[in-house]
Amino acid sequence: MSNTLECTNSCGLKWAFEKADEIGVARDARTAKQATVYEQGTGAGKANVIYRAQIHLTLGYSVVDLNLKTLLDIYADAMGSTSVKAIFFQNRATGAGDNVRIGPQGCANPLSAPWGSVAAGYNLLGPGGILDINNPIDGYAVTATAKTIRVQHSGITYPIDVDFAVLGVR
Amino acid sequence: MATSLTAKVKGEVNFSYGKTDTLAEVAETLLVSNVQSYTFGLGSSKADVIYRRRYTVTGNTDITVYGTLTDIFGDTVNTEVLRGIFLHNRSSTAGDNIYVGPLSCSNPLLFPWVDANGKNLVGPGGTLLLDNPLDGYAIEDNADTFRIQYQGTSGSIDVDLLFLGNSGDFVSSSSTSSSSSKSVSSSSSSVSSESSSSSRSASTSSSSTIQVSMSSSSSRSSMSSQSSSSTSSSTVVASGSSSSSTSSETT
Repeated sequence: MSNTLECTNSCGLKWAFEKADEIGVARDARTAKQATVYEQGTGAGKANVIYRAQIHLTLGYSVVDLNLKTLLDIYADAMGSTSVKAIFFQNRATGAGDNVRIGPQGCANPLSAPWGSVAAGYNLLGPGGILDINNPIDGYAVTATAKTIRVQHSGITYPIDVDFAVLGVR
Repeated sequence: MATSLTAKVKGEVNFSYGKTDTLAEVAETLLVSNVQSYTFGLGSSKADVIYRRRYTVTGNTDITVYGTLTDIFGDTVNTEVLRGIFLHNRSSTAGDNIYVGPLSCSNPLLFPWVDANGKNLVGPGGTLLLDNPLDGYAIEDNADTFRIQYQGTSGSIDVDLLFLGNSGDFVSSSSTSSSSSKSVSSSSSSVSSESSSSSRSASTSSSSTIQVSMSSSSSRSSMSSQSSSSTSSSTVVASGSSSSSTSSETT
């Protein structure tokens, strides 16, 4: 029994920015993006496990803790992560103020490295928003005492669905 | 001087994940993606400010998004609502990290990180994308700065920074006051203390034209196409690579 994984994490911006005066128009049209193609394995630029799901958060600061050791992938195998290479979250809410918090937030055994090792740290992700953190060379180490990311409803109006994917090394 | 700006912010994880046992190989191919389109203007899913620059970070580099930076055309960037932030740590040396966040700087922009000491660690070759298209992160005169902090091993790190936002003057567009106070936020950040929402529907800029339509597409394409085959081959040969581009386009 073996697993295979090919994955590309990419993010960035594409824009066209113009200004005009009496004489002419200047245009700055560019794309700035970073695409990391991960190959199967355990070193830099490599990964071998991915977990993806949609979380449903109810009103009232409901919480879901993601244990990157014990979450079951789509084949029902435990992630057993030793390192996380990329984290992608998408807040699917459309109502203003329907935020989610993503980070250790003081949970037990927090994976705090992506948040600068601040155990209470988190990012506030607004409705329709994206959080994408990619660390292809070093990754973020996952251990028995640093393995959990907390996702918390921080909105005001509706339950919130959050899509996420975590790419790691088993 | 008329201005126009359109932009797309994209985050994406595209993968094929397979498992093979003695009988068969099963694979899931999936694209988890969000593409947010911004049109020109103020308000949700609109932007009229973009700033981009490559910094060489050796210590603390403070980014004040209101009143100090200049855009590609040399105009001062007066960001009142921040919609998207993209950072790329261009180092390829293990251990060459940067922190991004308020990091106890003066006039810290708290909202994406909430706490004054909050931060994200972006490793070598790594990226951070934060997009908040509907509400944005409100900027005020005492909350307009975030910090990029060197945490590396090689002495300096090149960091590409881009941010997208709405301009403003911190003063309601209906105000006729000539007060220079910038303390009045136009945000509608009602309700929750954590609400970063800020939406201005009226332009405060006397120069800019523009009224625009908003388009937003969020695609989460294809939830899983699973395939099964009877082959037992399990080797995936792919070259791990990382490509970074900042390319100009002519359209």
